[in-house]
This record gives sequence, C-alpha cells and structure tokens, in this order.
Amino acid sequence: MSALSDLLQLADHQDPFRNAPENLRAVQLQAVQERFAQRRQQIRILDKRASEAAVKELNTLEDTVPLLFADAVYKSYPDSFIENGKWRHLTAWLQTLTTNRIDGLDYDKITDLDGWINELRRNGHYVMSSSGTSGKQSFIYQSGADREFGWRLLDQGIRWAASGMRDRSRHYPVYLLTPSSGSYTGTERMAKFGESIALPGDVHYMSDVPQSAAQTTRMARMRRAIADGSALPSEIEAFQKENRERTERVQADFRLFIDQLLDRRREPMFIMGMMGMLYQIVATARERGIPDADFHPDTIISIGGGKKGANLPEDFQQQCERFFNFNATNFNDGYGMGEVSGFCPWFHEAKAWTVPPWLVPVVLDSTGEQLLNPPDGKGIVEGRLAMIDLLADGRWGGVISGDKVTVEFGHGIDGVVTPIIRDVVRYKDLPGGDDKLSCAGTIDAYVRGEIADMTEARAAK
Amino acid sequence: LIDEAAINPDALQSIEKEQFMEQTETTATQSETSTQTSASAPLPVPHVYRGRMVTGDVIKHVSRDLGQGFCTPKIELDDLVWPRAEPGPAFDVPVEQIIDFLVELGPRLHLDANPLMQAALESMIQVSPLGRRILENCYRDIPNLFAREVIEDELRVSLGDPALVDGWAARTLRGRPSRLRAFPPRLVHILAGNSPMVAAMTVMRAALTKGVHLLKLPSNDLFTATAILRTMAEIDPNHPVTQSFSAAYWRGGDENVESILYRPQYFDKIVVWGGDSAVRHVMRYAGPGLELVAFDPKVSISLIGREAFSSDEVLREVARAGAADVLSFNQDACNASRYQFIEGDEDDADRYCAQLALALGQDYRYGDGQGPLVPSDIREAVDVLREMEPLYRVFGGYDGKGLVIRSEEMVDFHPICKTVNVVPVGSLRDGARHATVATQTVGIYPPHRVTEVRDALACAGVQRIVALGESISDGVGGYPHDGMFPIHRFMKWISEESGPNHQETR
Repeated sequence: MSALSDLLQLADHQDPFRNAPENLRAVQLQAVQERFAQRRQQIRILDKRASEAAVKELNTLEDTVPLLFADAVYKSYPDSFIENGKWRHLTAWLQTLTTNRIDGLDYDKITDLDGWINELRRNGHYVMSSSGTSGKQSFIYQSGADREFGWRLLDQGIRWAASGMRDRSRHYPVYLLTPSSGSYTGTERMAKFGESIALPGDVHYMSDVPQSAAQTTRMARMRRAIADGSALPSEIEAFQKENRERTERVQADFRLFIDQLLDRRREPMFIMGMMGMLYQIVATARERGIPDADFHPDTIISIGGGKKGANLPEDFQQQCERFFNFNATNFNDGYGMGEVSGFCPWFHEAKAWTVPPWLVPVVLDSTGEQLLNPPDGKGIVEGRLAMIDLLADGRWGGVISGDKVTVEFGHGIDGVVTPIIRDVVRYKDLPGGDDKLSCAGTIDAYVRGEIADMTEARAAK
Repeated sequence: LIDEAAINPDALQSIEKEQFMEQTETTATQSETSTQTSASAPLPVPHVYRGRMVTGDVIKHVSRDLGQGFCTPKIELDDLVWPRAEPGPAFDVPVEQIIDFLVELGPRLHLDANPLMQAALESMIQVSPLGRRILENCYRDIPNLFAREVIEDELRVSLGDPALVDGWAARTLRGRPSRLRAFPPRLVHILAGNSPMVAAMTVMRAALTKGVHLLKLPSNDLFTATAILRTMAEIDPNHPVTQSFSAAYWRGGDENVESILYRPQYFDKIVVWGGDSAVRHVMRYAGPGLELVAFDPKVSISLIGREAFSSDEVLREVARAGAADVLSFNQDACNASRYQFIEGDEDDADRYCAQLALALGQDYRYGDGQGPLVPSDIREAVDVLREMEPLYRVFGGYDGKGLVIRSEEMVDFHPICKTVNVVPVGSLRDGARHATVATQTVGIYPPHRVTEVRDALACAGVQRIVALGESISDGVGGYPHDGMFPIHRFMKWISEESGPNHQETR
C-alpha cells in the first residue's frame, strides 16, 4: 500500500491521533509526494508553480513551500464576473483550481450567484462559500467525496474530543448556532451531523433568515458603486435599511432560540456553534439569574472558529467555560479552516488542538517563505501556519493561512502521535502597521460607514 | 559596503559628538519598551529640539519596512511644544530674512558637502526599502527645493501677497476698512517616509509660515528631517527658523504621546501625510480648535490615446513614459500610476503591455528596474488570471522587473511593487470614467488631448493632470498640492476690523 492510502484510511478510524504511524513525518512526506505527482497533472497552476520554482519532486518538506497556495487564491476571481453575471467566466475561474472537469452546466438557468452554486451542485460540484477575512467571499471546490468527508470527519472529531459522545446510541435535542439554510456553507455539514444525533424533530437553528451568497454579492456591488461614486444616497439608505432589518430579524430569531434552550437546560442537549455566539447564551442566562453549571451534566458543547467578536468582554471564554462546566466528557473546540478537510479537535490532556494525520502542518515565517518545522520532528515552533491536506479530492491541498500559531511536534502526550497546536492568533489582529507611512492609498480607504463597517464585522467573524 | 561600515553608525555618533557635544544628553541604558531585538546593534535615531540634538537608546523600536532595530531618547514632552503665551521665535522676523536663510541652507544640504546628510543617507539605507540609488538621487535633489525662485514662487502663489505673513495688510471692502494677516501657525506634521522629499518639502513650506513646527518622524524615514534641522543649527543654532522646529520619533498612534500633545492649546493644526491609519489616529484628536490638514492617500492612473500606435518607435516611447509614471518611488507613492487605460482593442493593448513590461525593467531616477518582488497575494491572483487567456493576459513576472495585466475591467487587487493593470477603452473619455475621489494624478498621452477629459477628471475628483511620463516632475514652487495650496491652508487667517486704516501696514 502507498503511504497516501495508509494515511487516508485513518479518516475512518475512531482514533486517528493515537493510531497514526510512529514515523508519521516520513509517511506524510511520502504521501505529499504521491499527491503532488497526481495533482500537478490535474491543476495547471500547480504545475506551473512547480516549474517556476524548479521543483521536480519533493525530497524534503522545504520543497513544498513554493507550492502552497495562499488562502487568497480561493477568492481570486474578479468581482465583475459576478456583478455582470458572467457565470461561464466564473466557472472557468473555478476550473483553474479544480481537479475534476466542470461542464454540462445550463447557463440559461442561472440568474444569480446562488443559482450558479445550485447549478454546480446539480452537476456534482459542491462549492463551499465563505466570507473569509477580507470581505470578499471565497469559493472552495468540493467534490462529492470531499463533501462526504466533511460530515464524517465532523462526527469523528467531536466524538474523539468529548468522551460523552462516544456512545453512538444516544440522541439529543440539538441546538445549532447557525442559520437553518445556506446549504453550501459550513452549515450543511453541521446540519447533517446535527440531524444524525438528534431526537426526531428536535433540531433547532438560531435563525430561519437564510444565508445567501447573493446577499454578499449585493454588498460587494454596493461597495463598488460607492467607491466609483455612482451610488445615490437613497440607494445607500435603502441598502443599509435592508441590512438593519435583516439583522433585527436574525436577532429576534436568536432571542427565541436562546429562551427555548435555557428553558430546557435540565435536559441533556447538544449545542454547537461559534464561541462568540455561545457567549450570547451565557449573557442572556446571567440576565435571567441562571447560575454557573446549572445545565444537565450530560449536555455536550462543540465550538469552533471565530473567537473574535464585537462587544465581547475580555474573559468571555472563561465565562463560557464556567457556565457550561467544560470538561473532557462534554466539550470540543475545533480549529480548522474552510480550505482543508476536517478540523483539529480539542485534546483535553494537552489543552491544545491536535492535527489529524492527513493534515501536514507546515509552519512558516511570517512572510510565508521559510520553513520552520523542526528538522528532527521534535520541538515547538511558532509562525504562520500552512497545511497540506492529503485528503482533499477536488483541489490541491496545500494552503497558507493568515494565522500565527505555536505547534508542538513529537510531544508524546497520552499516546497521541500527531502534532498539537497551542496558540492561534490572526496576523491581522497583531499590533503594528501604524507608522510606516506612505502617501500611496487604495480606493477602499474612500468607502466609509456601514458598508465599510460591515466588511470589518464580517472579517472579524 | 566599506563606506557603509565606515560611516555608520560609529561615524554618525562621532560627528554628533564633535558638533553637539555640549548638548548631547547622557544616554541611558535600560530599555523601556522592547518590541523585538534585531541581530545588529540598533540604529541610533536622534531627536532635535529647536536646534539641539538629543541622542539616547532608552526606547527601542523596530522599523516597519525592513525590520531594522533602532533606538531613540526618551520623549521630552515639554520640549515638543511652544507655550502659546509667547510668540513663536520667527513670528516677527521679516519673511525676506527667512527666505535668505533657506536659500543659504540649500547648498549646505548638498550631499557631497554635508557629512550630516551623508550619515543620514547611510542610515536611511537601513530603514527605507528604496535602496541606495534612489535615496541618493533624492538627497541630491533636496537642495533644489531651497532655490530662491522655488521658494519665492511658492510663497507668492500661495498667499497672493507675501506681505500678508509679515504684518497687518490694510484693505477696504465695500467701504469698510480692516486689516488682514496670514498669522504664523502652530503645526504638528505627521510625515510620510515613502520619499525623503516629504521631509524636505515640509521644512521649506513650514519655515515660510514663520510658525512653530513639530515633525513626527515615520519609521521609514527616521533621518532626513533631523539632518536638515541639524544643518540649520550648524548655520546658526539660535536663528529663529532653527528655533522654530523640533523633530522626534514615537510609534504612530502612541497614546502616551499623542493624547497629551494633540491639543488646541498647543497646536492649531495637525498636518498628516497619507496613511489611512495615520489619518484615523489623528481624527480622534481633531476637534474645535485643532484642525486636520490631510495630504490624503491617493491612487494615480494613466490615459493613453490611440496615437501611441502610430509607429513601433512611438509605442516604445509611450511605454517608457508610462513606465516612468508607474515607477515613482518604486510605485510606493500617491502619484505612481497603477491603472492605465488605453484607447484601442485587446490586441492593441497587448502590444502596449509587452512594451510596458520591458520598460518597467529599466532604471529611472526615482524607480528601479529591479524593484521589490511582487507580494504573494498579487501573485496568487495573477497566477489564476494567467490561466484565463485570452480574457486576461499577463506580461512580465513576479521578479520585481515589472508585471502587467491586461483585463477587460479593472482588477480587484491593489497593484503595488511595479504591477500595472492595463484596460483597453473605446475613448479617453471612457477611460476618464474610472477616475474617482481616490484619484490623484492622471498622466495623458498625447498631451494635447487633455482638453477632452480635464473637466471630467476634475469633476470626478482628480487633483493633477500631467503629460504621460511627467507625474514625478517638479510640482513644488507655486503649484497646488492635493487640491490646495499648503501654505495657504497652514496659515491662520486673522481679521482685524477695529477702526480705520491709519497706515498701509502696522
């Protein structure tokens, strides 16, 4: 068997972290070689990048550095394709990053971005959209296999981290801190997993206001109209009003959701979403005089991503921890990114996230150019996180993130073979960048107000 | 390299000691703040308080662009303000004497003759990404800003009558007598460091106002302003102009300094050179009595007519002019062209792009043929666009020699590091529609066709229109800057309407 298939088999294992091969580093490098050889035949950009960097084969992990895509690549399409409805062009763009051939789309059926995504889905191409960190949404291609893995790995990771979940016969009232529709975002896999562990008819969503890619597009279009001066004041007013109303509807739904959840706190439940959202539950409970640790001890909480949020107190994480009494049986915190398969679940014994064996962590300097991984596979390094996702089927799995992390290799804690990630901060949240002054500006600096703020808020998610 | 080692930083300190020994404060050794320690010894950055140089290594910093460690003395807040109860040192000095002093200063700043400027240049190489060749060209051009004709034109055009800065000019409006004075202001200048000319231009204009001036140094130009002020002190440490300037570095946005200093009791206006974050920091303090004068961060473009295709020779020339406009300070300036709109079809545009990519690989006075490498976010985007020929076509590469992307519509990313987006248009007027409130300079070829677009451009927000290739040409000495006459904006315009006009001026 090849190194690649050895590692991929672990995706079906209950505990891929302790059952990864002892010589993980060597096996991963070999698997990366196999993947690269295959993908460079399928993705021309990767092949070109390799030729330019004079990389023929990957002898060391260092050789992969020029082949990693920045996460920006998944939003490198020109906005005008969407604004002007050039769906064929948008497909051509997606094709440049995709292993599978995309054709047979009925372009007459497509009227907006949601339509394009749905038409792709009808043809077996499951594009995932996310707002990313710059306000422009990314489109990440998933094949049918990628999509299938999406929810299987969610199940695997949560059950690995929270021991209370290991009894597969148990079913819960499920509360998901996500809108009920928006099927092509991460919501789909959360919903699918939620349904699989829920008591019949007992799945609840924070809001029924749909998350729509077209909505994001409308915002981008409005930003452009403001920047080029063509937006009328009444149009800006109408747009802001529509957004406020939308926000108010979401908030009203969310209040109902929280009330219901708090009323049922003596039942064992499953709650899943982002930490910032979870804190809203805690804050509401405090207003109602509900003390810490008042929930049923068998309630399971799984959170992920988005530690940042507007108007959160400094200690909101600690408050959540006390309120829900996080422990090794009831709690998972997932670290991941939309560009890679699965996520890194919380490893209670290490108080850190652990990286599954099919994700090869590549720690780089802040510029993303120098490899910092310890040469002997042991030790702690700090830097910009990149990953090579060996599982990714529809795209090249090498991607550089915007996160600054501390990764510990070869720690040997509690039999876990795979590396752990301790601290995560986004480079853009680090201080600096204030006094390197230049008179050169960008057009974006001239867009002010709610539209600009909305981008900020989305970026902070 | 030998020169560098010889002059910096030991030579810098020895020069300082020779000339300013009695004024140099004892340097403390403990470090108050330490962001990051760089491998080499931190560069000493002197402060200048009214002609008195102060050195020290109490506060350590790291420069933003090149990660160079540097150190400064502790900020003496009281030395950075001029009490309002007293007139500034130059308020009552006739402007003729100020001009004479500046004209004397000009040749003294000449790089070959001035060890302070030589040392500043060597230190600048450690903190500025522009590199020795461009920095040296700038330093050689600095004396030109102090030529008598330049100074006199700047003052006359800005104020109308230079006498207004010296005294109370009598006038009678609709039968009512009154006096008007352009009163010397108290200004903080938050300098930009993408070009050393910013510091020199600021000193020249600020001196002409006769006001008092605090210069906040940027981390990418820590040395030019203080070298000029110290040269002034060499001419005459007690001259009112020397006594009217102070310069210091603190981290931009440092509340410990800015929340104390930025008050109307100390200053009338804060003059800020670009930088979105710098403008936003200052906005917090601007309010009644403390006005913001912003040289806004801007974007520049080019409009190229179909005449460019009249022959291969002409096309090459036009591409060279187009490249010259891109290369202003390696495209890190507000007047650097980033988007070029060319009258023609895609094939025409491609022919121009090919020539432009070649021309970008050559040296210009303020731009390098071999510039900084294209950053990865642009590389990622362009790698993908490259795959979408013929919709897009990419010329040149990521190696710092020039990158050109031809597209039907403007690209989404912000072109930097010698990256140009060329968009074919039906007419120059179509191209002009892409100008916005963010646009500063527009270069036009052929120059005579400016009449087709200048009103539309000004209407959209453009501030300066030049012949293609001249965006970096002499724009100081009577020309408006960012849509205003800076000296006019700097002054406090005071009206005295108490009784009849007894004499022409008081």
